Amino acid sequence: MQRKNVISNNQLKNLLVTTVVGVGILSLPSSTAVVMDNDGWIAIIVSGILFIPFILMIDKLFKMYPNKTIFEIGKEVLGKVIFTIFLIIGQIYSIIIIAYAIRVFGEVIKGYLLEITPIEVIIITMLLAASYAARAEIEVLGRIATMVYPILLGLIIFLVLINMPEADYTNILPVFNTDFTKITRGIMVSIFSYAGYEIILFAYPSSEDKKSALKYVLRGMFIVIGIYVITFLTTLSQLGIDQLKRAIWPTISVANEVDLPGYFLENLDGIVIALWVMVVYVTIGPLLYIGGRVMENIFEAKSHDIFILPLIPIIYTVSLIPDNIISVYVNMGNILSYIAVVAIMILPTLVFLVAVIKKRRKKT
Amino acid sequence: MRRLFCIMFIFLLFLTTGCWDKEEIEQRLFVTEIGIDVYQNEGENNTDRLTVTYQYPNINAIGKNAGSGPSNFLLTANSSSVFQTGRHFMSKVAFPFHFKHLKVIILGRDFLREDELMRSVLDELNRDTKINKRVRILASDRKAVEILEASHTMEQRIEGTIYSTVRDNRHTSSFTVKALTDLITDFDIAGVTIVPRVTLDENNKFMVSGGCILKDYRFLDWVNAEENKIINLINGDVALETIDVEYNGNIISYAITSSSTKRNVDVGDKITANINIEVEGYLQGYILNNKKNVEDVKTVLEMEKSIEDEMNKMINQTVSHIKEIKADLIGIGEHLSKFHPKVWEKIRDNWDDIFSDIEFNINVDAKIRRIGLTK
Amino acid sequence: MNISKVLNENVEAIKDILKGCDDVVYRSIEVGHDKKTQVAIIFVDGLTDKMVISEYIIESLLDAGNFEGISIGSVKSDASEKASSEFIAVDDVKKEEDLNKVIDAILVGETALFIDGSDKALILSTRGWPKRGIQEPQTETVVKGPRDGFTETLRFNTALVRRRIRDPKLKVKAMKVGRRSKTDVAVMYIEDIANDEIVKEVINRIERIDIDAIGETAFLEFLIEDNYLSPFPQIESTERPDAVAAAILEGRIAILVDNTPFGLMIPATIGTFFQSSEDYYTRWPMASVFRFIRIIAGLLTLLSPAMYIAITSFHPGLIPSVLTFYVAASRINVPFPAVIEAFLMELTIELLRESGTRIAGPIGSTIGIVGGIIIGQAAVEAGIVSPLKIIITAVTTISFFAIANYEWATSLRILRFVFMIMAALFGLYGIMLGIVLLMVHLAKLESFGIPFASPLSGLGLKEGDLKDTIVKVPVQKLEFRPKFTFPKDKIRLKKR
Repeated sequence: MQRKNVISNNQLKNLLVTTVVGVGILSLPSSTAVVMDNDGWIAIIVSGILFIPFILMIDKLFKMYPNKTIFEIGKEVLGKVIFTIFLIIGQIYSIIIIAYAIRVFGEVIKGYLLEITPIEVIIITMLLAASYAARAEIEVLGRIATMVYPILLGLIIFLVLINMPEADYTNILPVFNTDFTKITRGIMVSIFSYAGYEIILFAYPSSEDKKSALKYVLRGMFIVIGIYVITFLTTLSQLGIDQLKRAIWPTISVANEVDLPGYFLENLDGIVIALWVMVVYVTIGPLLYIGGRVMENIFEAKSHDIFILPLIPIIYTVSLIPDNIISVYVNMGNILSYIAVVAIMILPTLVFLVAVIKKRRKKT
Repeated sequence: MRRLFCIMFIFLLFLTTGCWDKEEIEQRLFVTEIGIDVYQNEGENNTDRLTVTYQYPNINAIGKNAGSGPSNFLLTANSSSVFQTGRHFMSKVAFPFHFKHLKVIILGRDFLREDELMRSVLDELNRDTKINKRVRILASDRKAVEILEASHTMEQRIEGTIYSTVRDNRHTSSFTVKALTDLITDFDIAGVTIVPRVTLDENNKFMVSGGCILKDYRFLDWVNAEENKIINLINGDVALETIDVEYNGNIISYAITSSSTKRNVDVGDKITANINIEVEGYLQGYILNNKKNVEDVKTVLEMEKSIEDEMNKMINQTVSHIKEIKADLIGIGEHLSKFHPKVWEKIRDNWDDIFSDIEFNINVDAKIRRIGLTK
Repeated sequence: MNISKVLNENVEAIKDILKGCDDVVYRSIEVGHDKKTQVAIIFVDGLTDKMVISEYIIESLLDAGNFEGISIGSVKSDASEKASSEFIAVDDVKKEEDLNKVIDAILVGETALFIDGSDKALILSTRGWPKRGIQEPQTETVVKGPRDGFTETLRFNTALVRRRIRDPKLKVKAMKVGRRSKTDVAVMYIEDIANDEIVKEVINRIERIDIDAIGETAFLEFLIEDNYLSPFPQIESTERPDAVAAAILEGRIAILVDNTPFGLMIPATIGTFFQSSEDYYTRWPMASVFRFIRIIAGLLTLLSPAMYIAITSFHPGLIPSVLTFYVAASRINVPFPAVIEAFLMELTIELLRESGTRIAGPIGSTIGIVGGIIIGQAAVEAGIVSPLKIIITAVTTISFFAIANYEWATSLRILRFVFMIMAALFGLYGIMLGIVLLMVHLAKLESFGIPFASPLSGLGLKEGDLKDTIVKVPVQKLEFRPKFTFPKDKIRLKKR
């Protein structure tokens, strides 16, 4: 009973949610609050919705070329040379985003759990562990995502619950008090927390029911938006707007603020970080998988797993380039936002547009 | 298969280099309370500006096989910052310090008057990844080290008697419990906060009563327990307090079980603050006199009126006082920032003066729900 | 090799092949009213039921007065046909023409009957050997439920299953595995429930085995499973016939092997490893709670020592203050660091368990008492180990016994040491890495093409497989068979 390369739509949705929600969730409330004060959540929602047209486009693209992978479609539509250039840009993006994510991850672990352990060790161990998942096929990634998905939701609910006793929900006010011209800057800051959605480019063809796949993917996107908004509101109500703007990782800071000795609840940042390790893992694993698949197609190899291990030293080196945590967010983050927009928004759009033009030409 | 071995080999390499963060739990010293005083630095190159005192528990005195010895130890040194002090002690103690279980910070009298020092210490505490940001802050009317010296041997509970006292406002409102994050947030919004006052009584035991008003990161004024109660009442933070008022020639005791406050600010040419306080409670004590029983609703209403009048008086007194000292401890500024943000943006820079000119309408509605077992 | 018509040739041939097998008995009888026909029976002493041979075979042959044998040259009706249909009072008689097959039959415990002048031998079923009676299974007991367990005789085991499923669609496919052991293997499934592809795959894999001997179902299990390198079993084994019957009814396939009381059930998923027969015989809220406890027990047995190491050595800040101070106080003056303490205690417990298993009976339980009380208590009194660690070790061990399936529990027990190493290196981060790697491994694992981590990992979530994994919903709600077996007939229970 072999069902190779088949992923159910539910697994597809879970894969989307767990891949997208990763390191961004830690700093997102703070970075949007800095730009838009109490209305940061509006920027989060808008940038999430911005991705929906791209998702619809991708769905259309796959329906135009049923049962073909994105690589086959790209080659057919754009020709091998141009598409290979696209792939190389995509690969650069992959490397940088994994490096960024894993560097932030290492910094957080070093800050909260393992102060003296060298960050190189933390990065290498996480990369090696992620390679175990990345070398598998897409349906294994779907299964892992389905197993971690309830844990992710549980983490968010946990955060909301532990903050309830001490939170002041009036901190969310005033709403709609911000200058709406700031929203473009707000979107630029938050758009990159949705990176990772491109996993659907690689998972779509394996879906077992392609007709209703779109419904599930959209549902997943809304769940991500919901998670981010809830996180924002929770951190805002607990910290207040000024402390929120100061905090680098507000999502963990709120766990540091729980002190209910009567209920034996203290020092919960440990649990939050422990669960968050899993969340980051299911982000880096699929991203590394994408890296491997892209390489596989650039070099026209038979499978992607041989490329995973060689990618690790490259990612490791890139992740250590910034000197300090500020540089990571400011320099690397900036470069990454621009490359992300190109790689995951512009490139797929170009493929889609050329495909549509070609189809029209065929008709006439 | 070969790859499996490769990966395992790399992993095994780590075993040879050792586990970096491993430190046994009984080989760590957990600081539970810190006292901060000012250090008058006479030296030329010395950057020391604080005298910091650490208190940490005596592990030997805990648990089933408790040995003898004081329940806590104290160490004092001069240094330039709070966490730096730990390094000074390394030549005196066997183990390193850890601050994850820090519960209480006491600020000494002289320290309260240095706003630069306060800002830098608060930043240090805020920035640290380890400490629980709900550390309780106390202000002392003498040196912090004196309080700690008087109390450190007497702590019965593991987590500290001072901490248990200031943990929350559930049992008393003669002081306002203030955690580090609340302190910083208060400074951000209104520039003013109130912190419990800790002092020593005649028997040299520590006592927490009343509060210390801090404004713009420095000391402003002390308030006594009674006034603090009223301030808490206005903020809706009261539980199980008793108010004694005169009624019909006797003193009646009214115990408050819950209170809630609604603030309402009218912004027009003049800013008027309407504060409606609803208090619920029960009659604790009257007089054992058969002619003076509580038989009908009229009596209850009259009693309520007396209580309301008295409370109104006390509240108005307190409000005048804080208006005078320009300390917005009752959340008016915060209310404006949330509900009338446009107005707040205009007036927040002049808030001190504007606050003194605000007209207050206080309205207390006290209800006696129960009167105990007898009439 | 064909049987000749001459009796002596056959008997000599067999004697030659079975030379040195002194437990083979050769009995010649002259039958027929003129005592002219020669007949020989051959059987193995010890494998056969003596009473059947003496009373039903030999006696009926001796009484066969009308038996007209055939002298060499005469071509009347086949004597063996006549003998089998008229004279031999044995329940199962087969005819055989191949001498090797006759030998195989003799070695299984059947009796071979050769008639002079016939080129067909009769194989009479006379199997009987010393066997254990039906007992309660040692490894899986229930408080309320049937207490019969499988024994070492294949035919009894299939009978125990048949007693529970009296459906003509319950098929028993007999196979022989092992070049020298020629062990009987029975594959059982319900034809209109079990998925055809899986059945074909199972039979295929068994047929492909080419090994000397199958000693136990374990051999079979390891030879046909998907990933033999994994620490986790991908096929479930059980001693209980009611579990096998329930599995078959879910659409799974059972394999029973002669000489062992353990049966296999295919496919297996995480969900099945946490089920126990008792869940189905208890009321559903209690059963759900017990399931939950089993899951917690699994986590505890896997992670407790590792968490102890992580918290005491790396992150004492992660537990509430009061607890931290108590833990520190209990560890004063313990000479070993927490890691060594943990490894020492765990190894000691493993030693105790091993020795307790080897020695049965009263001595075995004494070791338990000696180990637990004396060593544990003495260690604490001597100050070598902290009392908290003893409690943790005790909790771990007790949790181990709470897990439903023994093999699974054993895998977790061994993985516990891996987690301890991870915790010793990287603290809580190491434990989380270990958990996540474990998850990936379980996600990759497949049992005959069915993802092992179902239903947690997606297969069957929509169909409600979870209803019978983490919790146990009332019987009325379990209308459909679980999806992971891809059953052909989906409905179990029709709602009224």
